[in-house]
Amino acid sequence: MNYKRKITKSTFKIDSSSSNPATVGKEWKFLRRILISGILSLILIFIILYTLPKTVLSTSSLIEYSTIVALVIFLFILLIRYFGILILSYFYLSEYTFKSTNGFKPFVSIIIPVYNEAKMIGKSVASLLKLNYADYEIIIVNDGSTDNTKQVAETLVGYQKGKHSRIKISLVNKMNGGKASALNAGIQISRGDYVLCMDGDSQLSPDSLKLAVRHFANPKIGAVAGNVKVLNRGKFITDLQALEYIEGLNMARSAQSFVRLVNIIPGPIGLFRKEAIEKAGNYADDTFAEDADLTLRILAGGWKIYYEPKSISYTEAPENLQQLLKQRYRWTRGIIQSIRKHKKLMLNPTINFGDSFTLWVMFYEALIWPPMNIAAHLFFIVAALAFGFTSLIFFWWAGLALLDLITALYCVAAEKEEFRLVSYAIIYRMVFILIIDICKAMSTVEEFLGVKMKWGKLERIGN
Amino acid sequence: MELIPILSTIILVATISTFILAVGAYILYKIRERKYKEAPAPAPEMMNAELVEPKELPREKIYVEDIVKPVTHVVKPEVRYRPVKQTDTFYSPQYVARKEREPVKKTRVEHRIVPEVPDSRFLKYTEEGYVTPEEDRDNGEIKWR
Repeated sequence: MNYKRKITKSTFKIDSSSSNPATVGKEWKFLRRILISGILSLILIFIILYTLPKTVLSTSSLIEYSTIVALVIFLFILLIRYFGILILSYFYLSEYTFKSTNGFKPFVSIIIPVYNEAKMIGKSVASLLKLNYADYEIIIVNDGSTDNTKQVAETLVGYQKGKHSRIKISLVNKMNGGKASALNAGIQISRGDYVLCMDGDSQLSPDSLKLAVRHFANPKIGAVAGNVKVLNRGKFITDLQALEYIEGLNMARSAQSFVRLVNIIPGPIGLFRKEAIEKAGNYADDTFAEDADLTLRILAGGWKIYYEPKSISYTEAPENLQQLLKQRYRWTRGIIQSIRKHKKLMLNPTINFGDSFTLWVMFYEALIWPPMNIAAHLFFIVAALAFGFTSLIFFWWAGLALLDLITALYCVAAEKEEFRLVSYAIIYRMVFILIIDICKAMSTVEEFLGVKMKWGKLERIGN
Repeated sequence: MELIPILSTIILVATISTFILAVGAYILYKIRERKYKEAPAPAPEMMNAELVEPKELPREKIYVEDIVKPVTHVVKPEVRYRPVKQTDTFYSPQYVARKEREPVKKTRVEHRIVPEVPDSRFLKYTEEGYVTPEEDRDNGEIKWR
């Protein structure tokens, strides 16, 4: 039986004082940056040209040696990164398997910010009503949608029949202010001491809440990150993303969780202690990666963050290259904005060593790794075309493909995922990661040049 | 022709194509984004929001019996074992031989003639036995069995 007819409407004020446009482009800032980097490059070239005749090296041999040294360093970093993540992830899974934490079942408020999600909101709420948990409420925050999301959401308001109890569903209608402001509005009216923030297009697995909330029995845990999986599989581009989520994101998150320093709580599923969010100053919209920014602030507050691999959120992945680039462009610029926002913590490890370490890892992944990967590929193209070393590119590809195959096998086995995804590892690095890294590098350049951007809404398929 | 040069050529072509595809797609994305670029409206410091929520339900209506409660423990059916009575009889060869010699007691079987009772709710007892009211309607009042 549904009690949705007995509804009340009221108005309240949302504090949105942190709502600022993410990037303000100022011409003089770009000019200063270009000038400084230009002068530094000129000084470097002058030093090389001045010192070169005094050494035994010729110009051609200098280029040759420096390329070899750069490649060796690249391979070394690649292997250290891979095996480091694999070993830590293995330790984490071993610890997780033998650890037993059950019996902590507090009241939880689930917040769903929606913007033009009429196609998906019904399915998201339906998945929440199947949760294997008794004490929770659902708050839908309509962030000024321009489609019929409001009408669809209003039909869901009421006491709906859940798996173990009747679940209260409320709706907040507000003017468009971005995801961060929608989440803050939901947190403001939530009744629970624990809040689960998710996306309007995501669907949770029945045990996701029960398994995530138990970690809060430890008072040091401020947030729990869930496991995001691709919902719309079956296409070449979405299958590659499914592999990327398992191999690139979840494995790294497992490794970070071993030291309780997960650096990004994903938007599709993140469970927070309300006290940790409030002490961190709620979601801020001065970056385009509000989840990464809040995670860094929670870590800076001395809280620990855990990863729960069995708390699964299925989300729609972009189904074409344009949408994928749009998503990655926003992620990259958002992460760089977050790193810049917390650069004090990054440069001074004595304030909070954990946060500083996390920021350096993010810095490396966002700014160092993509140009290195592009440069390595370019080197082999030039070596093949200009010097005829065609076979080098084959061995390069074979080495990387073998490494990715082993990692994909481990990840698919660890997550009990579809075995067919392993086959995509053969082209994963040479095609998919190369495209993503080129997008990341371009976005980084645009971010440093201060090119204006806005939050891009991905197209929903609603399958 | 050897396999490695063929594979190398394929990978080389694939890598160059990926580079061109990635850069091309990125440029295309930027062109499309520029087309739809709008100036963002400045957000006010405080904004009004409308809250639509159901009226509070009493706790007993939230946790109702028609919804399956979580199974916290498995209830096993109670099995009662009836102790088997042990007789003090000791079955020795002498006992068995004595039992065999004893005459078998004849049980008296009583044969009673049970009058046939018609299948009806109201019956009247008469000298002829039970009769239905229809059969004995003229012989006085109906007697309840």
